[in-house]
Amino acid sequence: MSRKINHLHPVTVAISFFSSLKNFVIPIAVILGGKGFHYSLNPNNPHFIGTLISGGCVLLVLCTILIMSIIKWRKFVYWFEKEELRIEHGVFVKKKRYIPFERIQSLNYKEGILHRPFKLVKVSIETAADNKGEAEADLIAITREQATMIEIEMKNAKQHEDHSKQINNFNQIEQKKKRSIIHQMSTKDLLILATTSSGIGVVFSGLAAIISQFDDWIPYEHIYGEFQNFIKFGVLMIGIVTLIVLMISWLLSVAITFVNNYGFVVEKEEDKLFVSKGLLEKKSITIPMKRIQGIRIVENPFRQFFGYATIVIESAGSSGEKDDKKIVMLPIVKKQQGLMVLKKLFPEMDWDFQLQRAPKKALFRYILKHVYWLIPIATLVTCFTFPYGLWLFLLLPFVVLLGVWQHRSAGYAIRNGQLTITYRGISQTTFVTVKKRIQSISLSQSYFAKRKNLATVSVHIMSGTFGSVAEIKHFDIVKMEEVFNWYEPNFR
Amino acid sequence: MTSQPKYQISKKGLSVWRIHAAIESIVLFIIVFTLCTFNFFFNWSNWIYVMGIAIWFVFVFLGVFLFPKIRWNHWRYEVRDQEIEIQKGLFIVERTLVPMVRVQHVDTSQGPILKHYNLSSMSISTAATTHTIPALPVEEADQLRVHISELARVAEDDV
Repeated sequence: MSRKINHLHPVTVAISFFSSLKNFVIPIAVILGGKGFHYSLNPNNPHFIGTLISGGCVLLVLCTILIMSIIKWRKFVYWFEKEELRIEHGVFVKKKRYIPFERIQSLNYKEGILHRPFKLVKVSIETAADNKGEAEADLIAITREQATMIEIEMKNAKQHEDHSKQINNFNQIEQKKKRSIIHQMSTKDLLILATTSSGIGVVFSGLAAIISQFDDWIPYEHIYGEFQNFIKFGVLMIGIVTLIVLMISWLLSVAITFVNNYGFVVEKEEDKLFVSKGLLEKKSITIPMKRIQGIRIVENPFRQFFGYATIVIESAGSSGEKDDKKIVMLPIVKKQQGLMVLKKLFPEMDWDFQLQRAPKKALFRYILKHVYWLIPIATLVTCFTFPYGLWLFLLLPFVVLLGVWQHRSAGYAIRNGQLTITYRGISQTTFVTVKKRIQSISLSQSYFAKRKNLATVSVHIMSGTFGSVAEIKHFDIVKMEEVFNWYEPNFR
Repeated sequence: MTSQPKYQISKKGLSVWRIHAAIESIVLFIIVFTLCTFNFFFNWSNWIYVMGIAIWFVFVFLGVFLFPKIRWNHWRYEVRDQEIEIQKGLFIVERTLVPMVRVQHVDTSQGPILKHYNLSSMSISTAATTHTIPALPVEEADQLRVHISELARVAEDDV
């Protein structure tokens, strides 16, 4: 193998410059805005020297960042040697990292706005090592050809392992290698996703935060003068203003979701799953099938009404997305269609759930769970703000209904090695996993549940860097012990 | 629950919990005492004496006498060939099953109080969870650790 040392593409300098600039935005703002906005380039003006100092500081910071970015880029080299990807980097401390190709679990690609004109990609290399959700190594910008080189090297290394097998059924493997599209999101689905996304709330609060920043600039006294006129327009006006703000934030959220999920495609190649999406910034995540620990089908009430669902994969190791341990495989899909896709991907599993439902006697506990919280809080608030706190008690029927709803949604099924659990927070979730993916199982029973012979089972699986839990709440103790025993290694 | 795990944790573990709670109650006493002193000088309200002392007594009664006893009664564990079973809880009794194949590593640790009683606590970690047996005789803990790591090595399965 040739020992050809590669650098990253020079665009790396710009990318790392902007990403470190993000960290300096606040200090720069402090330097610039610290003394108020008194700037002047006129030497006779008393603010002239201050302008020079501030300007100089900012320039110095910018130059330092730029120089650091350039040095970082110059010092970062990678090459292939002995079936390893070898990386050396570091400005003051030289760091070396050698990653054997066969240890690479997945390569995730990301194409930002700066990448695209030059046909570059950012490659995140993931191994099984526990890195607190971060990739083992990031190649910030390399050409697509180089990225394919890494992929080819990786495949060669892996095939080297079972070389004999390779020759025997070479043709078969050649055939298998083709990527097949499992699911492609249609524009209609994309629009539905965008319009029903729960991002509305986030954007709305974001807008509120931005508006509150303008406090100082809004001439309140003037407004208060006007306010009496405003009142004359009455509640209608306020309603319209609120509506407009809501509309704008909703449109924003639609746009954001649209841009983020544009061209959503799920593909399968051999034992790997590829999820790609994005309009401005293209992302592509690789998920080795054997790392998949569980699947969640999430239906929020609104989407459930129209028969839509979201399908999420829980996979061991990082998912390539920051602080998001779950990988959305199908952001929105008709539930039946989604189940078809899952059937195609996991033919050995059972997607026609026949669920055991929660017993009638458990209903009370589902309702009580919310009442426990509401009553003390409402009472306390009422004590302090009598009589307004009493309004909180109006929530009572709603939480009772929520309890009833959750009770009706709860269920579980065991078939062979597969465990299916459905539960509802607000959204209904169907959680599917198999016995050999479960890390541990707990059976718990409170004093009151014991009197009614009810119990709760919680199941822990590996997901992201931390685990993830699913619970079968308040079912008959006998049934729950069956689940517990089912998990015992000696059981059959 | 029909069948419980076989072994209870060391009786001395109960004393360890009580000592822990006693130390905490001393800290709480200092806080209450300071509050009462302030109250004496600034004359806020007589209720503060009553509440402070009542809270302290309740804490001592529950934390030092009642809760450790209940906890200890519920605590059970059993290490079998293929799995570890743990039962614990105060109001909610929880029984946990961890198959040996899922065990990633086992740690034992020992603070000054545990050391005095020649005990140690053992944590069993899987890829997703950690389970702690709080008070085991040192020899037994070491033995168990070796046993578990042997068993865990026997059966390999993908995570």
